[in-house]
Amino acid sequence: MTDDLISKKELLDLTGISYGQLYRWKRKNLIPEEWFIRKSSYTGQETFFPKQQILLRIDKILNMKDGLSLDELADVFSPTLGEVEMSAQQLLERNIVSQISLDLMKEAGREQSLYALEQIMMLYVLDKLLMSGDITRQEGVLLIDVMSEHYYRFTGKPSELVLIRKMGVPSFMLVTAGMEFYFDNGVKVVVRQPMGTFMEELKLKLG
Amino acid sequence: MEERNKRNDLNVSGMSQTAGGEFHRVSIDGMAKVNGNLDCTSMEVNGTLKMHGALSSESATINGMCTLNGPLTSSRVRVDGMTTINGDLHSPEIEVNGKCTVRGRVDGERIDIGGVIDVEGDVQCESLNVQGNIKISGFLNAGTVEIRLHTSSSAKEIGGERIDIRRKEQQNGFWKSIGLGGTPSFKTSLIEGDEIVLEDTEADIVRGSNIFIGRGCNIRLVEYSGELEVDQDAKVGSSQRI
Repeated sequence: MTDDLISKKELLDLTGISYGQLYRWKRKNLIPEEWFIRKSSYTGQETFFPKQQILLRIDKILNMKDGLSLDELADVFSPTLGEVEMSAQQLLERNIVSQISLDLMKEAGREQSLYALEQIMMLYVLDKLLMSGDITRQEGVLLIDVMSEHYYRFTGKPSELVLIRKMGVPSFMLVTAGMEFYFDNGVKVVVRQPMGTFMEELKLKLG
Repeated sequence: MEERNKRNDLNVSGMSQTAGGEFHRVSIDGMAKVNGNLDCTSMEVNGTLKMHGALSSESATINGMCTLNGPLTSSRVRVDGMTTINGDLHSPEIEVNGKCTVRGRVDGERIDIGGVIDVEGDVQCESLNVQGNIKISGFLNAGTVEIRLHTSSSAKEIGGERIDIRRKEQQNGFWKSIGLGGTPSFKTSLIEGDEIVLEDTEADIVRGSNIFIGRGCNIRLVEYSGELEVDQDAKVGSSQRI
C-alpha cells in the first residue's frame, strides 16, 4: 500500500503548489477529507495522500482553474448528484451517449422518457465502456441492472465499478472506493474504475 | 421568504415547553425547552433555552444561556451569552463574545472570537480572528488566522495561507483581572502555511514559505522555502531550507 501513497512534502515539491493552496482546496472540498491519510513517521505525524488520485486531481484543478471558479470546480468533483433531466433526444444531440447505449437500455426494459442525472451517468458509463471495447453488449445489460438496482446506495459516497470474468462469464460489482478484494486464479478483473471519474467527466460535459 | 412570512412567531416569556416545528421569528425571554427540531427565520434567546434537536435559522442571537443537543445551521450566529452545542456548527458568519462550546465541527466563512470558544472537532473557515481564548482539539484550516493572545490558547494543528499569532501589546485589565487562562501562550503540534508570524507559540513543527519566529516561541523544527527570521528571544531547535 505504501507505494501508492505520497507524503505531503513530496506532493508540494512535485506539483509546486503551496500549503495555502492545498488547504484552500481542502476547504472548498476539491480534495476529499478521506484522502488526507494520517500516519506516524520518524518526524512524528505526517499526512499522506493516495498518489495516483491526488496527482490527477491537482492536475485537473490547475488546468481547469482558469475557466471555472473554485465553487464550480467543487461541484464537478462532488460525488453527489445534481438536478438534471434530459430526454433521449437531448442526450443524443449533446453527444453524451450514443444510440447503441439507448437501444441497450430499451432492451434491458429500463427505457424512460426523461433521464435523471443518475441514469444519465449510467448511460454514460455504459457508453464509454462499450466504445472502449472493454465490455460486450450482453455485459452492458448486466451493467444497467447493477447500476439501476444499487447505484443509489452510494449516493454522496465514492464508489468503484468492477467487472470480472471467469471462463468468459462476466459479473459486475459496485464497491466502496478503495476496497481490497482477491479472487481465485481463474478470475480476471476486466474493469476497475472509480465512479467519481465518470461523474467528473459527465458533469463537465453537461455543464 | 414569502412562504416563511406565513409562519407563526414563537414567543416564550415565562416558562414553557414546546415540540419544535417551523416558525417565523422565535424569541425566548424566559425559560424554554424545545423537544424537537426547530426551523425558523430568526432566533433570539435572552433567557435560557434547552433544545433536543437540530436548530436551523437564518440568524441566531444568543444572549442568555443555551444548550443545543443537535447541530446548528444558520447564516449568522452571534453568541454573547453561554452556548453549548452538542453537534456541528455551520454558519458563514460566527461571532462569539461570550462563551461557546462546540462538541462537533465548525464550518464558517468569517469567525470572530472576542470571548472564549472551545471546539472538540475541526474548524474550517476563510478567516479566523481571535481576540480572546480558543481551544481547538481538532484541526484548524483557515485562509487567514489572526490570533491576539490574551491567555493560553491551543489548537491541535493549523493549516492555511496567512497565520499570524502574536501577543497583545497591552494586556488589558479584563483578562488579567478574571485571572483565568494563564499567561499568553499558544500551543500546537503543527503549523503549515504560506506566511507565518508567531510570538509566544510552542509548536513541534512549523512549515511554510516566509516565516517569522518572534519572541517567546519554542519550536522544535522549522522548514521553510522562502525566508526565515528568528528573534533572539525565541528558541528554535533546528531549521531547514527545503
